[in-house]
Amino acid sequence: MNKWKLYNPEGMQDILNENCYIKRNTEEKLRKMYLSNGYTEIDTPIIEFYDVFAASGSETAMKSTFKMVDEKGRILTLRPDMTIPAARVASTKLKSENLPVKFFYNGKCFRAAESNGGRMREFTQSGAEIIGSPSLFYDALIISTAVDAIKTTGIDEFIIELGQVDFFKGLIDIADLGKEDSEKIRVLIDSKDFFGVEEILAGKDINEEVKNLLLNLPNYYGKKEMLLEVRGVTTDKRLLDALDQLTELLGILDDFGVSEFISVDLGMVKRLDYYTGIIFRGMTYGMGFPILGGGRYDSLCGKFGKPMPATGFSLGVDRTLTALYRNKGKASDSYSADSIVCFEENARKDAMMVAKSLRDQGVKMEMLPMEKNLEDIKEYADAKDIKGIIIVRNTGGIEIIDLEKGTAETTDIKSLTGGAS
Amino acid sequence: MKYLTIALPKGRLAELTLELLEKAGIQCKSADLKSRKLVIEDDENLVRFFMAKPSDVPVYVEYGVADLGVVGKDTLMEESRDLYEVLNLGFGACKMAVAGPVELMGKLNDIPGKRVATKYPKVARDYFELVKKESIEVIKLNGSVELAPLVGLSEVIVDIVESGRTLKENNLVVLEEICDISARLVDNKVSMKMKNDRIRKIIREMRKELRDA
Repeated sequence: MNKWKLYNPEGMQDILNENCYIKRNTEEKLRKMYLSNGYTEIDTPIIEFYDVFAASGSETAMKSTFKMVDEKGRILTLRPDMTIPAARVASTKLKSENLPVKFFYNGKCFRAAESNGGRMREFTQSGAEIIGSPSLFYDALIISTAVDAIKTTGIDEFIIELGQVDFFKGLIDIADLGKEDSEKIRVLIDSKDFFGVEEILAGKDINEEVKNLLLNLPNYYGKKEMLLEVRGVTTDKRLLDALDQLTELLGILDDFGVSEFISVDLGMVKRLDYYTGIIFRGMTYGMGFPILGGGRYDSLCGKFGKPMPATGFSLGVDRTLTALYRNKGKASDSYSADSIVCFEENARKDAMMVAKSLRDQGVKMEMLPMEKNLEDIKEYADAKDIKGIIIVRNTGGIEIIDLEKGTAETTDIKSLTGGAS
Repeated sequence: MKYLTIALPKGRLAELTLELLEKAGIQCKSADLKSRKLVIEDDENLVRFFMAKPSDVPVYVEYGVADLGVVGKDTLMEESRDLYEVLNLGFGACKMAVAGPVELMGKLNDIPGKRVATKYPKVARDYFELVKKESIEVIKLNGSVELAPLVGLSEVIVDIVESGRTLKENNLVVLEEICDISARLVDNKVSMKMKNDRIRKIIREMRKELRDA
């Protein structure tokens, strides 16, 4: 029974002191950013019925989740993402609201089978959803909010890569390869394995144009020029529509001033789950995995009784902070107190007054009884990166030690608290 | 500019890869290769190489600590990591196959619930369960897999076969071929985008070299 009492389960971690400070600060900055863009916050339960995620049809959501059984025998699930609960809320709780609604959230998600490949099993997602409009304007808006979200965390070198689910789905439909081969091709294209795609298509009797597109799909990434190039080699209306939509989207993003962060990859065919149109992911240096993912999911809300088009994204907060740390080192703002008030036995009350008066001026103060000698206290302060020590003597005398400048001065309680006593 | 990091599998594949990279315009001081240094840096071109156990290369690349890596298709199949597999380098060619005693020739399907010894449990399972639609018992070994059918640990093995000499000397034969194996250039999915220009150039040059060879 005692064997595991000292450990965290795999994929879970304690976030301590400085890291926790930075994380909460980042979450707070994100929160302000969403609010300033007109998104409103939702906070949904960490535990949902399994049926919620099963309804989504997402394999990740069904297979790789922590599950429990409640006292009535129903299966409960720790939420593996925030988008599915957001869709549930939009469909069931907000029937009279003006559409589209714009949500944001910040919370922990859990996946049971993700500890391999550097993915945590407990992780924080911060994200936003726009539910109730099919307009391309909102795809652009959510993408530009995603750009703002990454920037807000302090990362400035990154890419948001766009894909279009309909392009690949269209190709696969025309090629008519059957379910099994289609899935194989999807996996191969997702891993840019030209050789493998060629092997499967060899000898298959399919339209030459479609065959060439499939073979080249792993190579179709870039910007507007690439879209233009692909436009030149297809005649199918569905494919052309998908390309035109991407081109139009790039135009809107240009107006939003975020073009420098955007590129397109037509071979982005990751396990598509509930995504239906424009999809995207965000990447930066120092992190081998995407830090952000999102896209349009027009059929998800319908699973909860109210069909509504929607789009959204979520940012992996922990991953982003890891990338930030690897790129830039520790954040500069100090997370611990500015000063320590040390007090002799009978100076407790005075010390409290000093601390309060300084706190009221916005100084972060920590209190410490004078049980150790001054050298030990200095060492303690140094370890916590605290810059000042204020010693309150039994006599009412006060010494202020500035550890940065190496100076010390004496004063009394009246002058320090502005005559408050 | 940031360093471009390439993970190489220790041994023969590393040498062949460095030759190819050199032809493709990426130099690596060969003296360094013979030393026991694990990480070799080229400050001028901002390229860094490191040598890893072959089966670990996909891990380094998936985590992004290496942008590129060279690894056998057999390892890729077994590890199934989330990577871009961008180039077939052609060398290190062999076959993944089911092998066993010569008496089983043509009778593989007749043994129900067979035991399969292998270094590649996932490959074995995928082949028998997904392709041949049958259940098997997989016995994972770490080497000398040919021993298993000889001493009765398993009926057959799944392994890579190069010349087939080891099989022959032990009266084993290839019963079924699963697929062709060769060295692949793999690429971290984020690096491919963040360091796109440099990586594309390397792939282009290598592909050109391979075509000309």
